[in-house]
Amino acid sequence: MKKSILTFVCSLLVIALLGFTVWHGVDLGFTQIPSITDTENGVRLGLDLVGGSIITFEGMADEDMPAEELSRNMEIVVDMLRQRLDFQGLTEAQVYQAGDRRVTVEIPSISDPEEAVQTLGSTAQLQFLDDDGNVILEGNQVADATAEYGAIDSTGVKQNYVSLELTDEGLEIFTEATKKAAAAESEGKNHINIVMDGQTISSPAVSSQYAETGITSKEVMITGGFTAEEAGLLANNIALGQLPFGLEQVEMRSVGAQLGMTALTSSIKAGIIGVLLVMIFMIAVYRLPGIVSCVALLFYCVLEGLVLVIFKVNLSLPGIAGIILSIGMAVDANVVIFERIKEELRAGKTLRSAIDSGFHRAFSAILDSNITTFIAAAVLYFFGKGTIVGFAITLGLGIILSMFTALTVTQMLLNSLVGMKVTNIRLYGAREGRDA
Amino acid sequence: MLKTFSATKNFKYCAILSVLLIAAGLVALLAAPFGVNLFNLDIDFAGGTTFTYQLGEEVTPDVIDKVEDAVAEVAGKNVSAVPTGDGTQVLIKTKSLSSEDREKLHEAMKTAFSLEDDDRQDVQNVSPAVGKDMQAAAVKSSLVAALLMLLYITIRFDFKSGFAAVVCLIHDVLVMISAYVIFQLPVNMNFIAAALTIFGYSINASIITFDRIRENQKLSRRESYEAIVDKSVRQSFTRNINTTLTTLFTIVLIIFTGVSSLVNFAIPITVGIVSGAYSSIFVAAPLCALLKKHQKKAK
Repeated sequence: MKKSILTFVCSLLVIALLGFTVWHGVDLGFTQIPSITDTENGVRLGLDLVGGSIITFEGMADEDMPAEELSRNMEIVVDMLRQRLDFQGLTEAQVYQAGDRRVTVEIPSISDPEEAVQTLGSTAQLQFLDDDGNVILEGNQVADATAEYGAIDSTGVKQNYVSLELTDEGLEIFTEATKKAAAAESEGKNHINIVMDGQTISSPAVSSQYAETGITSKEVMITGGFTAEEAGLLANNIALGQLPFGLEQVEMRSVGAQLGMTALTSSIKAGIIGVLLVMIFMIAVYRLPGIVSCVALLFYCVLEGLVLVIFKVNLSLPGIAGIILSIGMAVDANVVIFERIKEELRAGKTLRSAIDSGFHRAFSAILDSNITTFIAAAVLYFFGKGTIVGFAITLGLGIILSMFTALTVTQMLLNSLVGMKVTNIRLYGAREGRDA
Repeated sequence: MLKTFSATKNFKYCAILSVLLIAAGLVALLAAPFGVNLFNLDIDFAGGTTFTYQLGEEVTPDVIDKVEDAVAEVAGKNVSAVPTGDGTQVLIKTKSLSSEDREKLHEAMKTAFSLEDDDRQDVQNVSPAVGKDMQAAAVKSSLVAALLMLLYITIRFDFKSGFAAVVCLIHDVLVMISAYVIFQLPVNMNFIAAALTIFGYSINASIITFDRIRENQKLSRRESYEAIVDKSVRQSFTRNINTTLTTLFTIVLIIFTGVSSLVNFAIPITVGIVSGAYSSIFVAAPLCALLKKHQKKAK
């Protein structure tokens, strides 16, 4: 009896504690669990909720471009888009490759998506300027640019550098320009400025040793204590000047912030009313077990919230629909179990054995039905596109969590109620007497 | 009525009702490969551009005409404009427009209805190529899901119950597709999500009924198979109705949110769930009984 009361009270306390954690966030010392209302560190809201644009560009490369070359070029495109977004102060934006020749850009809260599409998708303008602003080289006079690591002088110290390869025509102009620049060192005008879309991305100085001859080799090195990453980025930016294809916008979805906000509040409202309706129904139909299932449902909601914040799930509008739908499905298992318990009681079993066989017999049906729904969610996760993946995640998550809470929490609480001598079978929804 | 109802004896009426329910969906699906499109294909699959504007006035047929006039110069004649949301918003659908043309259309709308930039609530553009890819992904995911579930059901149940359960599944998805055709709901990536959800969920009720049949067969070997089926259907009736109700409570509320992308997603799921409850009671078990009877006769 005492043990049962203890179990019962402890379960409620655990739910309350987890609920508090999800709502307020907790600092555990070694790690932090952010609050569910904290959209910066906790749940990330999708662009369809906070407003923003998702733009997909396709590289208009030749069909027969070798896979390796294509993937190298697409990497360059990703770097370029990142750089352009940074130039415009859109540092919150995300860029990622989506498929072999497509790149997707996600920009939160942007008012003019068309401007973004046009600037991001425009052809890159790469120029080499001298310190007086005169154009020395255009992008098409650079044949290649790669990031390298190795010893570059007689000291043998290895470092990161960018290796440029110029075209014959480019080299001729470059030799002249470097000669002039090296000679102008005393005036501080010995730099070659590498400019991309009007933004200077690097200004290496020409070493004074070239004052007589200029740089005469086709292979030009740019050094400067780069990290490997910096060298890679600079090389990619320069290589952009000779990217062999343009970008075409193939998909764009842009949602105003207001619309997203309305959608968010009305779907949260729907979720809360949904939970309440389900609870009222369960209590009305199943009495005491109904109340127990409500506790299990609360536990499920809290667990779902916990998983969302811990794994920083990206929550889209369909994702919220998935959560709401899985709340309805979460009590399915309880309905199956409780109906079974009612029948066992009617057949004249004692309460405890009715509960035991109710759980035991309902298990296979619950397992089978949840697995098939889970298969659907998994397939959707792997083959789905866009925001629908969010639906697959929350639905799949909901199925696993709801099965767990229905099978463990409900059973534990029901058993502890029986242990507390709450054994009037009327409370369990069975009529007095036997009608088998 | 519940105590005496026989699902097996009334099967022929249910069969007729089912055929009527799935007719529209079946016809639309069969017509699709022949280039006859009865669906309202959304830009996800067909390619195109959509705009949603908050006009701040009720979208009457006159307003629609004005919208169509305003955008005609940029987007041509082949434009659809329909009221959406609470009726003061308009959804404009055109062929896939370039970024420059989208800007022009936006300016034209702003001038015609003296709107601000913020009154454009969303704009979506999908090129025909991306639409094709999405179609391929949709077909692939439906096939993979169907195969996996068939496999699972065959492993867990005997062939005849498995077959009956799958017939029910297909039935429910077809009923859902009928709803898409009849109400001209936009067919997009949400359609695939709804279809797969119904695929996974509607089988629940059938499984519970079959589980019951399996159990009753062990308990009462003397009764005829039909009698066992009828008894099992009656016993699992409350459960099937109640589980459906709890799920309906939440999904129907999503319809009430009025968020158009969610509404278009929740309506077909609701139709599918109701159909799932119906088919598990009136189609799955009796069909299974029918199959077993033929098997006995053959012996």
